[in-house]
Amino acid sequence: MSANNANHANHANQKHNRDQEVFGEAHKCYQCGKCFAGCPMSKVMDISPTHLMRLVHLNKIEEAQKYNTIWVCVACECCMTRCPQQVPLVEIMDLLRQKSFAKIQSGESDGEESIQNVVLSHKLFLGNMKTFGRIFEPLLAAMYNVRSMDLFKDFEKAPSMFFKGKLPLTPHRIKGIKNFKKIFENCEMKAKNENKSENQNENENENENE
Amino acid sequence: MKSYHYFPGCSLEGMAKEFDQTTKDIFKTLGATLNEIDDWSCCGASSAHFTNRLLSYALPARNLSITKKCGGSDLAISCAACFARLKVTAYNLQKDAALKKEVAEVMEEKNLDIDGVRPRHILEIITKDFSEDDIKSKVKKTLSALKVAPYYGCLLVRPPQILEFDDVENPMIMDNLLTTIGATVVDFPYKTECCGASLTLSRAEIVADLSKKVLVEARDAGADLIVVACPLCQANLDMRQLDLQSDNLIDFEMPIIYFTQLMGLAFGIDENKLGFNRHMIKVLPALKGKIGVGVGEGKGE
Repeated sequence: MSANNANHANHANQKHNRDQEVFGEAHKCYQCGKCFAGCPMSKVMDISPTHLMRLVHLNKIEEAQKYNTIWVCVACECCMTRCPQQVPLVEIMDLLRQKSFAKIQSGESDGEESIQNVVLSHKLFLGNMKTFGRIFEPLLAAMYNVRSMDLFKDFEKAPSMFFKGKLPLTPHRIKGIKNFKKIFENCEMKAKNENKSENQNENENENENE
Repeated sequence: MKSYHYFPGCSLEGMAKEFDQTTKDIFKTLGATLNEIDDWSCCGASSAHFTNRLLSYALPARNLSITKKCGGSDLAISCAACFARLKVTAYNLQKDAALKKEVAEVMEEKNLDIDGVRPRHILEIITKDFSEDDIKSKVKKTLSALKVAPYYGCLLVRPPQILEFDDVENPMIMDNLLTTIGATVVDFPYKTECCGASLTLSRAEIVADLSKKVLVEARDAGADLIVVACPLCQANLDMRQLDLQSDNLIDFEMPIIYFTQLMGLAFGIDENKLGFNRHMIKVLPALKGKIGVGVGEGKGE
């Protein structure tokens, strides 16, 4: 094994251990349902946060990413604050979302249909930020309408928002945009590599099992 | 003279300009200066921590590092979401050296230095660094006829062990401040319920539903208006009210204003200069006849 490969394997290992540490916290959950009781999004979730914790506890990480739950959660952190076992639900959900997003970015998965617009809104938010260094709200809203094929969403509000001065006409691009973009690209590259080495690990495990 | 470094955040340049303006007005009236940090960038908001772990730390860290380079320690922040992201990052990077190293790598900064930078929400600064008398001595108009419901939302108070802001289920900082400036604060059990936040773009119907609960509860509590400290809470409660009205789901109007605007009103700033005209639900009709001239009786001691 070359030094580079060893380094890569080492990094993948560290990442694996860190993920296991976060997911391992789900074992503290005793399924009381308090997270679900206070969750503002419970009505629109496929499965409850309680159910999700059970899946993570059973190490069904892939399955946990299949439901809309992780994407309709807005991370209000009510569940985590009230959990009698201090399970870090939002940290666990963040990790599931990040894994799921890496797969969507690499084209391995499209994501569930019901959450595609939510994922789209995050993609556009990040793209907007990467272009200017700050969020330019009017363009974000317009791009969302075009890309989600919901052209007239909130359209009736636009004229009065414009006259109220809520919609600035020109974006502000930060001076350090070059360096800012570099941060973005480095983070994206790292997530991509992590996703790749995770897939490799899975393949190797499958081969060993055969 | 007290002096703070200041991080406005993206919304305060756009939709929430009036929050930025009135934040500056209030600090000026209290005799403190705000120095906007140089070339600040977006904190990453929900989208960063939903999609990329390192990005969610690197983006706030860039701003913390700029603050340090400006020689700053106390960083004043108006937006509740920016406050939470910056404070969570400062906390985790100071606690976890390995994470800090990873973040420094993606930022390509050899010596990422954020030591001693303290992100603070302006509500906390105003109520902790200034005495009640400091604030009361600036009050020029009586607001006692005005009934207000303070709405904290999520990200001012949660996660409590990191933000250390106030009681997580029943925060009182804003209640007490609004009482100090003379307004009548109603008991508002929905003060930390979620408004639906970032789903406003992709699932507006959910946001409208959640906002409706908050609005109805405030109306039932007898409030003339809701007072907020977060640009996204303001936008959701204000804008989605139009959807609720056109769908005949509510039959009343509830103005949503920033606490800094209400302070400006109490401090005697012309009501036409507080940015009320920028809100979708009209504010001035709710204030009519309720704002007295001169400091009212029964106040002070």
